Amino acid sequence: MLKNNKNLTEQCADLASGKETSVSLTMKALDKAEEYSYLNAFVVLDREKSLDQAVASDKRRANGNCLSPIDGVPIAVKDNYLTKDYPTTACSGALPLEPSGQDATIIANLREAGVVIFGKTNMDEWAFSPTNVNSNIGPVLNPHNTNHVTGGSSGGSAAAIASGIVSAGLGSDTGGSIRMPAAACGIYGFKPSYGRASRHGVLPLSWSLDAPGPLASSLKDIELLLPYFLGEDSKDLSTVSSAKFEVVEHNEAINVIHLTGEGLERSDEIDTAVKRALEASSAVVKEAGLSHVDNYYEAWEAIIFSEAASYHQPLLKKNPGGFSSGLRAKLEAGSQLSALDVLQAQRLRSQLMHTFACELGDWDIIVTPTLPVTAPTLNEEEQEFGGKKVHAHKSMLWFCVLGNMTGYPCVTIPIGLSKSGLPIGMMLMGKPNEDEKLLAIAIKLESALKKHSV
Amino acid sequence: MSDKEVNVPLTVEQKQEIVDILERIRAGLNIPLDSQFEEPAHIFNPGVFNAKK
Repeated sequence: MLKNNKNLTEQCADLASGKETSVSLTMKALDKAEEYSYLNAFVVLDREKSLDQAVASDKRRANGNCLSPIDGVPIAVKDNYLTKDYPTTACSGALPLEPSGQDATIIANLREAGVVIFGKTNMDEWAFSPTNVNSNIGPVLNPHNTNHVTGGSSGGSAAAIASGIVSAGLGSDTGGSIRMPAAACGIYGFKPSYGRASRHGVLPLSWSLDAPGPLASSLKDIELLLPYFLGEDSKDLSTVSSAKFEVVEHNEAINVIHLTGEGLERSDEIDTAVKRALEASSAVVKEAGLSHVDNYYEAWEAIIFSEAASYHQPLLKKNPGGFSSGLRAKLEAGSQLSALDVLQAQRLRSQLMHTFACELGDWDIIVTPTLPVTAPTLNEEEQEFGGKKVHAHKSMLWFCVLGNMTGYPCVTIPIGLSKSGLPIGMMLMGKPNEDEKLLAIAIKLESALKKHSV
Repeated sequence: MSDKEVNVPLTVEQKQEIVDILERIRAGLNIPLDSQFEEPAHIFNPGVFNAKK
């Protein structure tokens, strides 16, 4: 984070001790939102609605009816989560600006916990881009350097947290849309295993890749939030086997596979930062490569393009002008992929999952940088790293798509700043449905890093 | 919003972008599958191989 702002865990402690009230926290957040309005992090922010929720929370607390440890904390919501009291636009010109009248399951869970739904955050149009430059209200600017992108598509939530407006926010992740902006803004982001978090009421981009999750100011914040994300929801059948979140500890040695080699290139600066972080941890680290890994990017594209084209077909026919030129081209391309193209992509996806599960040896976590190079500038079309010139979109997605292709849980943690002052993130990937263990390992590993840096 | 379909022709740039996307994806999909590879269930389940391991 840019400044010494309080994280969610600290804010909860301040509320519990009476040092802060929900109204005082919300007022501070509103003031900071005004101070940082140039970042363009919010689509909509309603002072009255936020304060009404805060007043209600303070009354509950005063009466001894506090709903949860996070009761009264303001949290920002990506604008693809349905919210009954705010419009949901997905930052697209194709949707009407009206409150949807219903809450996504995760929003309903957070309301039951007493959270102040603070506002809706800027995102890439329909979540279909990794930079947060392509939004109908304009790009989000990176709080670390406003000439650079935040990463997307949950860039508004990331910028709101990194600038200290709020301590936590909601995102969704189809190819890295939680992890990329979290890494680029120097905060934490968690993509749950596919099928652990309900997608009900989160506008889809690609239903077999999408995973809603939290962005926050610390790993302990993530631990506080995951109970409201994970668990079975009868409105999303992919969650039928999803257990409720329970805190676990990891006291054994940590076996890490650090993925390197062809197709997994990164800049020297990023490589050094990740290697230093792994050396500082107490983990047992083994390096391994993956055959054809760069081609799995196109398999991911075939899946996301075809599923997005299928979902958007009715709206695209009725209101093609409601989509930006670039997104319309992507959706038209997706509709022209053949059944054989999509099936081949799904078979490659299965092969990748098999490789991860059975061919890399024993591992607790797989580690890569979150991004192979620091965030591009707003106008940068190509980035250079590891002897390659890569389109800026592909470079953002470089490692992150592996988490969506496999459906494995992933977390990004900040591990320092580049020479130019931009954040560097490290991605940890866990085994499917072992989200709790992944978080426990991340906490242990980060604790070792902090001790080392002291 | 009306249910009527609206015909807005694609621009030359959009048509070229579509061609580029399709060429890129199809080139990327052209990688070998393990001949011994056993297809999992068609419903996406990230834990399928761990259960079998």
